Amino acid sequence: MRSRGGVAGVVLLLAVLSACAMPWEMDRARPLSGYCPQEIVARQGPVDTTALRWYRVNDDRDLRLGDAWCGTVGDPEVRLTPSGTFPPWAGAGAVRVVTWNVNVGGGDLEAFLAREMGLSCGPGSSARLSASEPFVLLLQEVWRYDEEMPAVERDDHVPRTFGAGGGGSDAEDIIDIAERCGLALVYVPSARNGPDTGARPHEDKGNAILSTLPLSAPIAFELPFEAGRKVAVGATTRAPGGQRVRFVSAHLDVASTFVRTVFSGNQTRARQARALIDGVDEAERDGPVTNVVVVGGDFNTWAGNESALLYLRRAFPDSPRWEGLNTRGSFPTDHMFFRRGSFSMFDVTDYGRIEERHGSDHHGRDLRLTFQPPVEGPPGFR
Amino acid sequence: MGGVALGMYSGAAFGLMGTLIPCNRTMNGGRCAASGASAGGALGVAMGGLIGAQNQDALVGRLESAGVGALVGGAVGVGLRSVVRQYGWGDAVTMAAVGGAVGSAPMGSALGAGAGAVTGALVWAVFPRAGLSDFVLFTLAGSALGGMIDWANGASTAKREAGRGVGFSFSVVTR
Repeated sequence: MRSRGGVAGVVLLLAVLSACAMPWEMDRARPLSGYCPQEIVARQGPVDTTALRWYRVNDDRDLRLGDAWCGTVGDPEVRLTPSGTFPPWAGAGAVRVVTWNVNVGGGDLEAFLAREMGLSCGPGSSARLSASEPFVLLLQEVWRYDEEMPAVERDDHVPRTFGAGGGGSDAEDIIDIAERCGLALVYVPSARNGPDTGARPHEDKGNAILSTLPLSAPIAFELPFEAGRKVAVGATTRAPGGQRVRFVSAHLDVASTFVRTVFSGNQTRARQARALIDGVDEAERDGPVTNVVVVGGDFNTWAGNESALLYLRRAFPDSPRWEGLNTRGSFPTDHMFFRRGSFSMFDVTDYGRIEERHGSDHHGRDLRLTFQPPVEGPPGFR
Repeated sequence: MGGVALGMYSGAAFGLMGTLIPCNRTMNGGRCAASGASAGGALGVAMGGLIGAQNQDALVGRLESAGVGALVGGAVGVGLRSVVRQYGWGDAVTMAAVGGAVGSAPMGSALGAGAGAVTGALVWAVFPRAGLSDFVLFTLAGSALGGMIDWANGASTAKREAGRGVGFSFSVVTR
């Protein structure tokens, strides 16, 4: 009887120590049927840069829950070429890179594009970009409605409904906006936006990349499963010198279960951040090599020195300095990271917070990715 | 033996509770929190052993209040289970376990939480980069520290108060 407390103490200690055994290493995966990446595969040499490539953690719990959640969402949407006519990334130019959590339809994405990016959208290919720079927009919590999605009822694999979007028949989802604005799009749904009750259309939500530049090598990084399924999205574009530049839009969990929070030593987001870093590295190893990487997202961090951010800053050593401003209430949730490897012609400038929230509960963040072509010496100069 | 067991359980939980957020600001958070739990457990073994060896009444009092704490924690866990989507029965049980640990040193952990909350609020107000997470950090750490001081105080007064029917170290008389 009296030893029960001791047993509980030992169990507690062992459970906390087992946190070190929670895996975060990513492996390549592929769908066996449909669009869910059920099968973990070994590295297979050169990769297709047009089809969506998957990475996920090879852990029984993560695979089981990830598969169950994936079975409720619709197909990923990949449109690598913008249908609009936009300025290219040329010469010694810059690309504006922005990250923003849209809050599942709460944020007015079209107004954001118009006022922050200078893009007026319209039917057909009438979109006009008033700014001279191309842009890449890294989005979280975007949503899509599609009646062809499977109908789902309330259960453990369907989170509750979020946001104002989707309720009206004229509400525009991420696919509509990409079409109306002529932008390239990579959208990978993470989860359903609530069960189907008949009150709203069938909806899913996830991360996306919108771009005025052509994209390639679309990648989905299914992060370790904590409280819900989170899929980071990556895509590549070409710099004026031909170098590949990868962009990644990520969203980490705000909180895990109480059990996992306690027994992992509160490592929910640290585990997901390490998986994201490993996934990007794994994608590099699988090729094509893309040394220059910009990662932006909603990391749901409570403090500016949280473990997840420490890991990301170490993995992306050329990241711009955080100025200390919060982006969701009193929390510094949204950040951008950068690394250029040996490509010193790339740099980032003007990193900051976008003040207007455009209806979302998050501020966006932006930076300029600059490219300075190497100066060629005179003939014979070595 | 009972004091050792209860002290270990309670100390490990306090050690973990106090280090959860500070360790999540390091590059080795899992091991850091495990170290906190281990250190707390070791201290709890010592304190619980001393109390159990000198004053069985005090130990029984702590066991009873741990039971109350477990019930309260469990009730909160069951309530949250119906509100928080990802919470299940395992989370309710874990909350009961944490509640039991806090309940074994109720006065110290409550006073510690209060002092930690005041400190956290001051830090939040004074330092521009501090925020709600710092407030929670100080509150949890204060509660954990207060709980351990409660155990230490119980160990230091156990012999003096043996046979006087003292259930709690902070002059809360149960019978």
